[in-house]
Amino acid sequence: MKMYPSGTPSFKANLLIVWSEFVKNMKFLMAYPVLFVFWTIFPFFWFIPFIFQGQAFVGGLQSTSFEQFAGTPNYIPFVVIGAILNGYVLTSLYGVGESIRREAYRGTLDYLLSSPCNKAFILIGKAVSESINSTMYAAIQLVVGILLFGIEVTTGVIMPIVLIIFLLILGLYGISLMLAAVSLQFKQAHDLSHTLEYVFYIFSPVRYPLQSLPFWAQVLGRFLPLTYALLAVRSLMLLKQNILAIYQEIFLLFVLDIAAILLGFYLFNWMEKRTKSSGTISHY
Amino acid sequence: MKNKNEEFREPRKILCPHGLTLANLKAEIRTIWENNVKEWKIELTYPISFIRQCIEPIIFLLPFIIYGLVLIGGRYSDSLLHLVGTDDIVTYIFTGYVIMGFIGTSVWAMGFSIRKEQWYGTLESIYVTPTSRISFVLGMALHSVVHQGIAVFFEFLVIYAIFGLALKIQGILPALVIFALMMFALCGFGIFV
Repeated sequence: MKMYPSGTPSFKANLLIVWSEFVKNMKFLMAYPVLFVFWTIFPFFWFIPFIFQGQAFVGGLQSTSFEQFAGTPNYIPFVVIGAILNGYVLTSLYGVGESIRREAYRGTLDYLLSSPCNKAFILIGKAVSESINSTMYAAIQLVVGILLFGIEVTTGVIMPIVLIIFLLILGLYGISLMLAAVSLQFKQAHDLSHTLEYVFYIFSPVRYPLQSLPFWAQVLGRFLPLTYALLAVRSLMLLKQNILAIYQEIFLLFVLDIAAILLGFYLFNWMEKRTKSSGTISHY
Repeated sequence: MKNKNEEFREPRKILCPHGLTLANLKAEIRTIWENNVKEWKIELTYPISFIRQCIEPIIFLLPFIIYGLVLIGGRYSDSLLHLVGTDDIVTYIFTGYVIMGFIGTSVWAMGFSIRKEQWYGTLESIYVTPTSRISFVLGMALHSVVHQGIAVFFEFLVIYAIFGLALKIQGILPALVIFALMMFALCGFGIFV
């Protein structure tokens, strides 16, 4: 009988799990190159209608009314930045949030969950590979935004933006963990992902400033990590503020991250134990 | 011992009904209806998913309206009046989005109809039936048009309640005629996909 190593796995073993998950997901991505093209190009089709709509309604490239809410009259860079950061939401919800469900479809979930390793590192591996993919898409979109849509990036804002995106990714993957946990028990991950996407779509300032929403919607929007990331990145890139002016947004984003990750891991461990004991892990 | 000719005899051939007769037409209409009923049964098995899909058009419409209102600082745009002859952005966006919804329905639902049967493992069974492939796709189209119609109805109620819609009563009938023509074209496009 083969004995499995007991005790806490070493740091190296955990890193190997993360690496293996990363390699597996990259192999899947390379097997379907159309997906890569889709996630790179199609976000443009989602925000270009907003640019045409703006030009038709305003009759120009600047809006004084928009400036009262957003602090900048240039609505095109506002929308483009919103769309680029929103890409992280989509890939995290549909990439990590549904990853557990996809393992169930492929028939590999039972093997993953019965393997003698910490399941958290499997999810970290999935999150790392999705983050790298999302960043590749975002970088390509940013270059196009700079070339075609008048986005200006100075070297001084690059590091703060990297920090904000890192914090955004942490928060989103905390939420994705919760989604993965719920999909272990209730299975319908796709509907849950869509519902969460709607919440982000309406209540975070992706296409319009948060101040344009009713008060109750603004309060709801303040619980989403994307809201703070967008406020901070737009302050740096569009309003030309320095990082000290946005310390509150960064701090609140950090607090949301901690809360989402802790709650995500707790929920996932709880649901994993529950589904294992009830024998419903591999149910469809 | 069996005769060799008996053992390897060809399968019995069944002649499929063909030609434009009333009986065949009735059979094809029944195929369309049964496909529609089948799709509804599958859809209503997942009621949460159905409700979500009915709400979805409103969710995707609202950002366009809010964005437009923020850009102009009101409901009426001089620039839009100059371009298309109406200055009411809410009604303009709503009517455009209703048509956009049906385009999405035709492309997605009809385009995916064959693929879905592959996923369910029923494509072969359907393909060996003596019915026209077009009737099969049109059954899917009927389901998706009714589905989208329900979603648009909810969309109309919500937008009317929140923003109000200024639609001309005398324009509804001609609009429906144009809409019916568009649906024929979209069905053709869906079959192509």
